[in-house]
Amino acid sequence: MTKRHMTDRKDCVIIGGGAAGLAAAAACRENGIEDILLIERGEVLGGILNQCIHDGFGLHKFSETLTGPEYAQRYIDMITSRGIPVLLNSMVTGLSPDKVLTVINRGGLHRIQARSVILAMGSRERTRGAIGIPGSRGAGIFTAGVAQNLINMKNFMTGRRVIILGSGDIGLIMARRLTLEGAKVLMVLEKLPYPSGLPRNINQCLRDFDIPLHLRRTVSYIHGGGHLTGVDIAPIGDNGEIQPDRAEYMECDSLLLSVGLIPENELSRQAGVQLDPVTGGAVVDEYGQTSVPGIFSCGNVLQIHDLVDNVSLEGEALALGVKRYLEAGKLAEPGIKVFPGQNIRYCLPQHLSGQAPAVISFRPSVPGKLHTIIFSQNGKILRKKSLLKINPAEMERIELDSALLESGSPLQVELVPGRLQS
Amino acid sequence: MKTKEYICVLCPNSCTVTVVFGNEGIEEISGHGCERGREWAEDEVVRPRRYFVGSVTVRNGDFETVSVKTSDFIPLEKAKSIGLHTHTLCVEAPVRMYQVIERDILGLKGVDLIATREVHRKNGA
Repeated sequence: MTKRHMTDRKDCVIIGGGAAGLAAAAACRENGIEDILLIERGEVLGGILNQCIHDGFGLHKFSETLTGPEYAQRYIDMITSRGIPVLLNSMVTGLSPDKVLTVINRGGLHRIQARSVILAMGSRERTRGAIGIPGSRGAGIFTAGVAQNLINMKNFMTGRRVIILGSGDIGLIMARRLTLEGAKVLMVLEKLPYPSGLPRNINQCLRDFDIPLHLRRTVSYIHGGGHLTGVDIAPIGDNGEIQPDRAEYMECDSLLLSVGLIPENELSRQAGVQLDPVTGGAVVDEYGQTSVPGIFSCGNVLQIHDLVDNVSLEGEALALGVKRYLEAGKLAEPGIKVFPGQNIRYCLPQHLSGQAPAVISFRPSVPGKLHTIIFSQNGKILRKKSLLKINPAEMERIELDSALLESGSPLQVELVPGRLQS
Repeated sequence: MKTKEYICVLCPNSCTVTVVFGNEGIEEISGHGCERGREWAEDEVVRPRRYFVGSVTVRNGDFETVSVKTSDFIPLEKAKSIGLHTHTLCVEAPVRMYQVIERDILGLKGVDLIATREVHRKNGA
C-alpha cells in the first residue's frame, strides 16, 4: 500500500508566490542561483495583490503609482522572463528542520529536499474569534480582506449598511470601496486613541466621503439571528477596558473587521524556527536567515508591513544570504544582539553578524512629531537620523553600515524626542 | 490670515501640507515633500481631484471581474457617480492589460476607464 515517492532536490525553494516570494525568487535568479522552485497554493501568482485593486503601490520600487494587480504583474513578468519554475495550486504541508518539504497538489504527494528554503507565506487576518466579540453568530460578519476578496474578485456585495471595526489600512480602503459601490458606511471604530492606518488613507478613504472615525470605541455585542441586525458600540475606558454599560445600539446589515494580521508561521514552527513573540515572525539576522541554518524569511510572514514596496525589498535582500549559504554551507554567527530601547515597539533583525549590509526596520510604540532614531553600542552612537514624525502605523527602514559594528556588544535602537544635539 | 492643513494622498509618505491664505488667495505652501505635492495642494484648495479605482463585471472570464482605474485624475465629487456607473458595466473576456473599458468616462474629456489586469477567456466559453 505504501507508494515510494521520489524525492526531488532543489538548491532553493520559495514557499509562497505573493509579493515577498516573487521578489525573492526573481532576485535569487538574478544573483546566479539557477536551481529554484517557487511554490504557490493559489491558482495564480501575486497573492493578496490580486485583490488590492486600489492604487498607491510601487512608488519606491517603480517611481510610479500602480494598483495591486499591476504591481504583481511587473514581478510575474520577471519570473516568466527568467524562466523560473513555478508550482501553482500546490500546498506545502510539511517542512522539516533538515529542509524536506511535503507538497500536495492534484498530482499527488511530493517530497522535495531543499538546500535552502525561503519562507514567504504571508499572513492571515485576525477574526472575530481572536478578539472575542460576544453576541449572536449571524451572517454578515466579515474580515475586511474577505470582504475585499468577495467584492473585488467574486463580484459579490457584502452589505448595504456597514460598520467597520478597526482602522487598519484594509478597513479604510474597504470603507471607500463599499461607498463607491453604493453602500452606506456608517462609521469606522478604533479602540486606540489614534488610527492604525496611514494618514493618507484616513484622508482619501474616510474624509473624502464624510465617513466618521470614532476613536476609543469598539463593538461590545452583536445582535441578530440568521443575519446580524445591529451592534452595540461601547467606549473604551482609560485603562483600555470596554464599558458595555455605556454602549449604544446601532443598526447595520454587516460588520467588517480590520483588526490586524497574523504571520502564517505554521510551517516555520514545524521546522523548529525560533519565533519572536512581538512580531509573530521568525527571529532573523541581517541576511534574513532564521535560527535554522539555510531557512530564510521575508515579507508578512516575518513582520507585518504597511507598504508592499518594503515587502519586495525584504524579499530581494535575501538573495545575498542564500547565495553565500549555498556556496559556503553556512553563514557567520550572529553575535550582535539588537534590542529595542525607548519608544520602539520592535526592531528587526533581532541579531547581526556584522558581515553584510544591514537594514534595520522598526516600528515606534507611540505616534509623535520630531524624533531622532539612534543606533548605539555601549553608549557610542553609530548612526542617528531625524524623523519629522513617527507613527506606529508606519514602519521605518534605515541602513546601518556594518563596518561600524563592534562584534560581541549589543546594538541599541531608540527613538528620542526632538533633534539630538551632537 | 488663515492656514489650513491637508494630508497629501499622492504617496504613502502622507505629507502634512500647510497652506497659508492671504487676501489674494494662496500665499504660501509648506510641508510638501515633492513638487507634485505642491501642485496637489493647490488643486486641493479649489477642486479636489483623485484617481478612481474599482471593478467591472466580466462575462466568460477566468475571473468574475476586471479591476479598473481612470487614466487621469477625476474631480472628487464625481467619484460616487463613476462608482455607480462602473457597477452597471459588463465586458466580454478576454480583457487585455490597460484595455480601454470606456472612453471619456461620464463625459470627462480625455479620462478613460482602463483595465489593470488581464482576464483570460474561461475554458470552453
